[in-house]
Amino acid sequence: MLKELFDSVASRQPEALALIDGPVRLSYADLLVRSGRFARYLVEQAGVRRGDYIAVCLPNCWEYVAGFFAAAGIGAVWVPIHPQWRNRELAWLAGRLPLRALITNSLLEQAWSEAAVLPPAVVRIDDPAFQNALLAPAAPLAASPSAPDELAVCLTTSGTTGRPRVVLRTHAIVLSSALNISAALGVQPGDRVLSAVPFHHGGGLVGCMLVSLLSGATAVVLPAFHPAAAEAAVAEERIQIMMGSPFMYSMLLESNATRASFASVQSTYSFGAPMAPETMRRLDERLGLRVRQAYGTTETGIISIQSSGTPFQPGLVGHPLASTVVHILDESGHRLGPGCPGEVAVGGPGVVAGYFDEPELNRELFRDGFFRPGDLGWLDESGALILCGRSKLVINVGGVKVDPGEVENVLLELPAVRDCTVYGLSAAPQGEIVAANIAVRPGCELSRQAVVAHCRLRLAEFKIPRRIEFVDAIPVDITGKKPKPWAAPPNPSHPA
Amino acid sequence: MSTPDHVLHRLRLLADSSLNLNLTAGELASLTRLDEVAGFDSLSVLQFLAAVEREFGLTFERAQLRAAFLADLPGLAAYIEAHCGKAC
Repeated sequence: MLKELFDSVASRQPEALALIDGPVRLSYADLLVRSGRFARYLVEQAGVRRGDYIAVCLPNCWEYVAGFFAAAGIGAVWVPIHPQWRNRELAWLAGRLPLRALITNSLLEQAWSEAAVLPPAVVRIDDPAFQNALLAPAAPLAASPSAPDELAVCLTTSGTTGRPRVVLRTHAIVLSSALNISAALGVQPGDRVLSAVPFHHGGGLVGCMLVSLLSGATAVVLPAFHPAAAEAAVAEERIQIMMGSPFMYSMLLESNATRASFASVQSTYSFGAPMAPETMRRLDERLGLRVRQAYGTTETGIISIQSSGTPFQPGLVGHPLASTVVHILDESGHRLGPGCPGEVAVGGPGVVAGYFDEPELNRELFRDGFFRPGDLGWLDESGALILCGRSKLVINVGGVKVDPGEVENVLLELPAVRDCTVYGLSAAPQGEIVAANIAVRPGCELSRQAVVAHCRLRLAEFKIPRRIEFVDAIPVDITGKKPKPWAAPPNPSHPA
Repeated sequence: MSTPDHVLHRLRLLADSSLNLNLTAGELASLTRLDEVAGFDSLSVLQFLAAVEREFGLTFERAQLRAAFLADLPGLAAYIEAHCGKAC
């Protein structure tokens, strides 16, 4: 389905610019041909077949995009992996999914080698043989149609169970998500969309990459976000639609960016984490960027987007997208009326059926076709959603979720650690940082350096605690739980 | 006129405040590598970079936006001293 729609868009406007990646500028016809050659390479050199899982560990680049449509055309499942993942996380993934191939570069491949979890086939995009295969005049492999319920993408997300979870999205779910977002944003052929959000993030993959290319727009790809690079790309490529996280927009405000650079921007969206109204006001005043907040999760895709022209209001994330249903539930699971705060539940064609191989968790979180992201909120009389807190303790680091339990488990492996608690500490501009309170066993010594070195071998860099406090004891409440010392009420997660 | 030691001291304080490390006085005095005392992911790199540029009125080259370069505080202090001299 995804490849067929892309083929259809490309056939309608073959000469239109599909993608800009630094000096590389690909028309829709170019991208179609390169994805077809990529597909041939995957089949003939990596032995990929329909239904195979392909891990992808890359920064944003044109090869990522070509590879995605190549996999979709073969009927393989695209598994985006955070480039910062290390031994423990990669070993968990390899034990969870039967990966057939890894698409990466020679630098990022090292972590996979160190973890000894390389799949049978490795495609290195910086390998000259691979580059030649994509640029040589070989015939592209024809795509074979995929059914709506065939798997297209496998995302990983953090929860509160001490380990990541696997979210499987079918072609129909991904397509529904992308088309819903495109319609809500009003993306048109010829629009230029800044794609600085990493494609390994669900919001970057669907909200930036697919929304652009399935709408006939031009994706302007940045390998990594840097304020000056983003400003230059917006000014030079005359970007109309900007998508980013609150962290990215905050860094733009911190930089010397000027209003004139953003004169072409017509729509600005933020997702991944809540944006403070004050940041919204400053972006509007200083750079002329009127940001609309989007809300979504890995399990549901984008749920709602703030309407243009609405006032700055904390937590306001707008009306649910077409065919997406949001209910507010009380503690017994009954629906609440407008104005009554409760737990958010989301239903619709963009919601996955459940996590891979997590029956107990699925019974808890996926009920009657509705997913409960763990956010608290209320609906106003017009049906707009206002978020007001979290019912689950997940740390949101610049739009990426971190499970405190996963970090605690790693810390507890240190022999000198008697007990610990990991929590999110409110900190601008990324929203929250990972903080750890650690109680050391009597007679033992433990340094901050030893803790960080231990974590670095086992966790992605963004999960390693930024703030480490050594304490005498970790308080426990009457139920045996360890109250998290959040500095402020936990924010809504806004993962996407 | 500033010295590399003076710049290094300012960098330590800047790292502590901009990255919310909350280091003790002893940890701060012996701090040489940022990635040894905390997670130093891409967001931290950008955040620290912005703080350094603001503090010293410098603009770094893109090639220097590497965690390894920015985490090495004595090396960074020497670079700053060489590039802004009396101005910092």
